[in-house]
Amino acid sequence: MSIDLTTEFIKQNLWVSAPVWSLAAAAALVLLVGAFRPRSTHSLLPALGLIGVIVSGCVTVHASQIATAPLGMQSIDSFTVVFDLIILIATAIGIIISSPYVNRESLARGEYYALMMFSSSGAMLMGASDNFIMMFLGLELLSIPLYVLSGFRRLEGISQEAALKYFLLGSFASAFFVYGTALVFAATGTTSIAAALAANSGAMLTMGVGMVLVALGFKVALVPFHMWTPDVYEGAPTSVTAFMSVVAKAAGFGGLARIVAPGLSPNWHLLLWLLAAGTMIWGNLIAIPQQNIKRLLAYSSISHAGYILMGLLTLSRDSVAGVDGMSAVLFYLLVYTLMNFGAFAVVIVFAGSGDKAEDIDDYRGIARRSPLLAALMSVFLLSLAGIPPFAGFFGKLFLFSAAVQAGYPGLAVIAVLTSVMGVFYYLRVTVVMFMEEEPASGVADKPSVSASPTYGFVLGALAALVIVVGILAAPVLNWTAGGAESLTAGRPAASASVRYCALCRLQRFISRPFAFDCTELRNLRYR
Amino acid sequence: MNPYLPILFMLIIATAFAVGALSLAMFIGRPKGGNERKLAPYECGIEPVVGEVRERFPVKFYLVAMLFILFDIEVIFLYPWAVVFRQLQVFGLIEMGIFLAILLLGYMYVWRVGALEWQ
Repeated sequence: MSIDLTTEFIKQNLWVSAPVWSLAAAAALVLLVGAFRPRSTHSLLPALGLIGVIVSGCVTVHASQIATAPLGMQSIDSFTVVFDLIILIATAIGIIISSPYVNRESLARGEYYALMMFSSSGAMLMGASDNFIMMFLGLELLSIPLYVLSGFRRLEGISQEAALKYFLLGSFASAFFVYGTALVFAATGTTSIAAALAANSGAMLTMGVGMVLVALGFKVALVPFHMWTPDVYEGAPTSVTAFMSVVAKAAGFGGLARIVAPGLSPNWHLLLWLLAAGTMIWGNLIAIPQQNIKRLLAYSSISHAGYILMGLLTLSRDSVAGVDGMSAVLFYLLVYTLMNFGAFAVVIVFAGSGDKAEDIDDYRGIARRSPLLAALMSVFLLSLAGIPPFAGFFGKLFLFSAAVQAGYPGLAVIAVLTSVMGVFYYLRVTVVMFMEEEPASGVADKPSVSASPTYGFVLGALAALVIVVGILAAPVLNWTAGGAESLTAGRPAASASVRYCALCRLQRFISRPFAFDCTELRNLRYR
Repeated sequence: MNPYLPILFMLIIATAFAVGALSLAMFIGRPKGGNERKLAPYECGIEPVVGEVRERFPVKFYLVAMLFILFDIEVIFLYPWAVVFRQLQVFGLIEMGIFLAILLLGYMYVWRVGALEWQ
């Protein structure tokens, strides 16, 4: 037995995995600095973490230009790059948002940032893997730090409960993934995703793929597998909730995209259709009666998983529909990162020291005391609800129109109707903030809520981005479309390969009944 | 013969054994009356520990056991490497060096944060 170990081979391997190991190495550095340097220097750890994230971003972009050959385990195609950069942006925002919060709640430890970065490196591995084994590795690397992070308020029962619940159910989901992989291997003799799915299907392969989908559905909180979400989101420290609502979800969808892209057999599409519809309906429905803002955002994140899954379904069609759908998915993940982190950051500021005020009742009339914060919260909530001109609207628009174009009009109708339901509960918070009177009892002893300079900066930047990305949606969509293309490279092209710019999609979406043609604009997107 | 047939047999035998043992215990093992000896928890034939079973004990036991398992399992990975050491040559050596370096990082961390100290 000889193993081909040329220097070139090793080099390619190193570069292909560079995004993951560069971030993991930075995380290890943060961990060791946290352990070896005295407490007084720990305020520098988030800065060190941020530098690590930026370096990892540069390494990712650089590596993508060197390593192109698919090696079977992991690939660094354009999808990986776009996906990794979204994860890294989310990680950077997560670190910035965490640093004042963990100081306020006395959770500051070197491990905190290190765990966050380890988790992100797992997320990046999931989005890059071509092999079930690698994806499992990524899933575990993503999940285990998150279990620890959710229990970081370790003296509080609710946080311990969250950590234990997440750990037990998460390990169960991981077990599903491993067992599914084992069945896939038993049925096809390979753990490569593309090769396994190309094999003639049998009952064992179906069971295996189904189990893998269950595990990923758990991670992104699709509806039958969502039970853990509200409890964990409520109990975990708010900065961790924000982080995992974005990164774990993105990671799960990265993994799902890698599985759906090589071509699931058509029977799965009906199942994914049902999952998406169920998630949108149930998530939005149960969000309505929620009284706690973190639980409300938890159910909101469930419903957003439904919208995103709808975009993934387009990968089942030809390459044009696939690119449209996947670019919309990546666009939505980016926008969701911005607006969800924004909303959770406002929750952190409003909750005050000790995370006391987290019920929606606590938000009554708060606009009187701190109008700016209330306005910012409204921006994020309106964006989550999908109201123009915020980025959330365009994210939803691209997803919905992609679904219509890919031949899922029924699903798009459900999505539109359920997002109208969503408007109700997002607006309820805004109404409570602006139009209701504050309970008379507590007014005197409550000072106006003011954000620390860090939060002022982050919230301002996020709100600005939510508006700017909304207005300049086309270039951003272009960027994500580049990422989507590598996923659909092997798909059959559509007969009339017309690609629509963002503007055309809006026009087409509005004027669909009149069959308005805007082909003259079609080259805008792919100049 | 289907290669998965042994697994089916194992499944059947395992189920039969579990069901059989339990039902056998139900028929012949039902304690008729009982004395102090019979009701005491069984501990490999030695005298049971005196006092409350749910006694509190230091969580450090758990930590040490966990760390032991971690490092123990990781060191086991050295065995397959030792078997194919000649084929892997320098590549394997470097790869294992990286693996051990990561392990060492973890060890340094564990040591430094005081997880190995009992007090």
